[in-house]
Amino acid sequence: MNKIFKKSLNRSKSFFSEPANFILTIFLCIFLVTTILPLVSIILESFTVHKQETLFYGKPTGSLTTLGWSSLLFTGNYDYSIKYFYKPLGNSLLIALIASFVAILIGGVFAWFICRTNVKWKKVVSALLIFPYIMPSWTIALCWKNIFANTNVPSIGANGFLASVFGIYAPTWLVFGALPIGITLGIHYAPFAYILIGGILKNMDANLEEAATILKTSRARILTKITLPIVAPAMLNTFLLVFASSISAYAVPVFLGTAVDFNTLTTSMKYFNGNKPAQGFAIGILLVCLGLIVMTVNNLLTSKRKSYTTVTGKSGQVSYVDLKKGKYPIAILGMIVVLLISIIPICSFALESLLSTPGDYSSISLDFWIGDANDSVLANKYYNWEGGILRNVTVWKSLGNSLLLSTVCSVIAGTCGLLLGYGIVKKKHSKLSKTVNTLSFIPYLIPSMAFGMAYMAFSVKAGILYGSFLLLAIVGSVKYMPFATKSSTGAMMQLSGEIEEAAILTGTPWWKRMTRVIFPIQKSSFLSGYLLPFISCMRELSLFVFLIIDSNFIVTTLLMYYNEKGYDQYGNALNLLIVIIVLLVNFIINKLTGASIDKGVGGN
Amino acid sequence: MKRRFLIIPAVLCASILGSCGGKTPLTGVAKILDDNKATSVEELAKLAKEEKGGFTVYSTSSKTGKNITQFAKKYGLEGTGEFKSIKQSESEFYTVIDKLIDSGSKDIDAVVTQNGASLATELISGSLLNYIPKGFTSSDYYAFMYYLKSFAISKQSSEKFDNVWDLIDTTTPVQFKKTNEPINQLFMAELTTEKWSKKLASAYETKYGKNKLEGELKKGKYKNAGWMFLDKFLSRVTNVSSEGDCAKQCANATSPFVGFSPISKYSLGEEGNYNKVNFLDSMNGFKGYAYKFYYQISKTTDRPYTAMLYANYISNAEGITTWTSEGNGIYSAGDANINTLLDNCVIENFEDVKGEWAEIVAKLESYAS
Repeated sequence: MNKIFKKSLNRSKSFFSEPANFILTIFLCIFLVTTILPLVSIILESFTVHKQETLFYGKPTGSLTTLGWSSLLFTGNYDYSIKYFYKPLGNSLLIALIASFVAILIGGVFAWFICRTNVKWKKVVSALLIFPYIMPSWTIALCWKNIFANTNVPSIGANGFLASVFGIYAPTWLVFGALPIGITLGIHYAPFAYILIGGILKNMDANLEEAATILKTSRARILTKITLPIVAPAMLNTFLLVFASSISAYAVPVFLGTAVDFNTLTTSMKYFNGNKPAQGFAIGILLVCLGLIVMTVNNLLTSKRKSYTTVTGKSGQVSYVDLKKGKYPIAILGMIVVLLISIIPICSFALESLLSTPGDYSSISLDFWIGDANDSVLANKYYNWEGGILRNVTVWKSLGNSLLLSTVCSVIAGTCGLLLGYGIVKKKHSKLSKTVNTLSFIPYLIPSMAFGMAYMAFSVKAGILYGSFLLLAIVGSVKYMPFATKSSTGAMMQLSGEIEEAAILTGTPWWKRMTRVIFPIQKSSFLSGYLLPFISCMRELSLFVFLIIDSNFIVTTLLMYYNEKGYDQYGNALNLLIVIIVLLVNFIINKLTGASIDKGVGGN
Repeated sequence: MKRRFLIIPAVLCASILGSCGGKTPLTGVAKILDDNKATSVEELAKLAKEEKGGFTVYSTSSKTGKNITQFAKKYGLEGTGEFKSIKQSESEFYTVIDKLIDSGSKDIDAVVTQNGASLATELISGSLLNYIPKGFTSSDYYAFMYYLKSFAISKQSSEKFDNVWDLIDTTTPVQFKKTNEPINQLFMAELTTEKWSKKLASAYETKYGKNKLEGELKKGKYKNAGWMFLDKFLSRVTNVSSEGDCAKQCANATSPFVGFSPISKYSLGEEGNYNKVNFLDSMNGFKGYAYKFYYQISKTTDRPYTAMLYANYISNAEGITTWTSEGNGIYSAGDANINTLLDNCVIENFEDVKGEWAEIVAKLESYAS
């Protein structure tokens, strides 16, 4: 007995002496609580009769029933299941696929040109390309509508930009529906694709491509046989993240889908939340399952390859493809695209926020920025006057709360993601690593709305934390940890083991290896793991909406309130303020650490 | 021995009789509300001043905050605690309220809310308590204010809408928020009641001639004119994501455009949207839809007298100026002319449709796509 005990103890000591094992075990425990318990909550809620459902199901509140599921999946009356589940399911998949394709196309193309060619104006393009990700997704949708709307399209009373200025009347399918929703979401997530793919391309050793060039391989063949396979894990990760995000999108389908009755699973879920929560939770579970399927496919595809190492202990160099005469025309084209997706929306927000009367571009004023809330003249002039946003206490409080929340979430998520990435890659063939890798990604696959609802149900039932800032921080950190984990995992997979082994041989302790060797080499990718949660939190809405007691608590709920009520000028001003603040943070981090999202992928 | 056989059944009978019928005695806040049904406002104000601690009203309206501050000032209650309102969006309102009250929180004293259908299920649970201020007609859910929704047409159109059935035949686009809008669900539901289906039947016959309706109903597709209007109307309208946006589109339209939104969404003032549209408020059939703002008291409140006093405060035009000053089409339930103001308006009343609610919702949901 003693021998067995001693043997087990020694094995455990040996097991935990490896930092990777220790990290993975700790996080396994954390994820069991933060991921599995909310999932269990969602499953239970989908089988429970809620107060609002007693009138429909004829059963008492709190009782268990399968009526939620059967109503959602098998009700033929009025084609209920088709209208509220199957058709929205098809629509959600469609927009997610379009968004993923658009994001990878835009992000991947820009990443390649900026990281692997001598195209001009890299720094500017790189800096501007992150703008669409900083803006809340629905504001890009509003901008799209403002550009393409025309009176030939349902629910539009006045022409938008293209129709007014150029007389171009876009068809309804270009203004509302699957294509504009997919494109808008794709534009929103394109910077994300650019960051992930570019991070890989930047650090890729050019020797591989140069060897192929020496052998007189064509450029196209190099691209398809060498470059693309190397960036495959980043592209697959991007596809997974964009797909999961797009399928959970709510606000964009509302703004660009309602007029043509284009419903998605999230709009159905939102409807059910008010009337039939059990069905809403059922949809939440099905969305998680969809995400798990995509993740499984991703894992299968990436596990086939033995190694994606591109950064080794040997010296490497980056050589650029010479575009020759094409460098300026291509740069101009790239700049036009970036202006369309980054600058025009910002200008639109700025301009609209300065209009006294929406649509009347001769009525410029700063009222909605610095107007006095107690000014009786302004109160008579404007509907629901609350004062300029820079003098509005509610706005400043909301901004402060959002900044604090985003900072806390990014620090927690970024640090945990970094450690997780290290542990997962170091022990990538172990069951523990695979389990933790899967668990770490599940929060991202759970739709934000469902995730928030699950934590609300869990915290109230447990009688702890509900309505507290701590709960918001936990939820935000857990939800966005996958960003940091994926970014860190991708970076670690590129790093050859011999680099750390060299440090181990010299007796360097683990923490020094991390801070002096590993982190500096892949700093750009690791830091994006901190910045992405920060930006995502700053513009997150659905995740926190059930956990916040006061809907003016954070800036995105305030922004949604302005947009829903039609207070355009306030909404546009606040949106612009969010963008400015995030850019400012990016700038400060750049000055303090020398790193930023855009610099990490070729802004130098 | 005989006595034993008499006493035991007597005791049993007494126990059975005692447990049969009769109301469960009220306790806590419910008892206080019940005991003070007839208490005057002046007396309530005195008792409210003796209460200490914050007074928080959860509301779907952002204007409640200003209103609460005015209330506290009027009755000299500022020194007794913090008076505030927390705004919560409509779709999550009852979820948040439920969780707070179920956890026994003292940080919620009362709610200002909409949507009688959701409120009805809330009241069953007993989390919220219904208090009717003195002088008001008793009702299951106390409503202190009405908001009027109406059809409006852009001034680009010269088309006449004399009859609600014109909304079905017109080639002008008609925008109506038919999904994710519980208030509009209640509106459509109310049209199926006997009262409004008769009015719609009369309007139909005025437009198409007598006996035409009978022929339509005989086909068996519709129970009454209300159901027929509901079906034809929802089949032809264009959905909108926001009524505020709808009002804005209507006001700025450069082509004929009809939209359905609260009149208060049309801003006042010289350059306001209110003067840029024509309201279709004299159509044969109905004028518009009046939905209610309800006030309910939390069962966990530790300031019941303040809560009752506030109910009295918002029961007249003076008490709701924070709302009425923002736009037209907002009326106090205590207004002496309320019946005139709401004449020929479809008025929200969930009790009218409660029995058929599940069937009506199932039908309304079929227009989602």
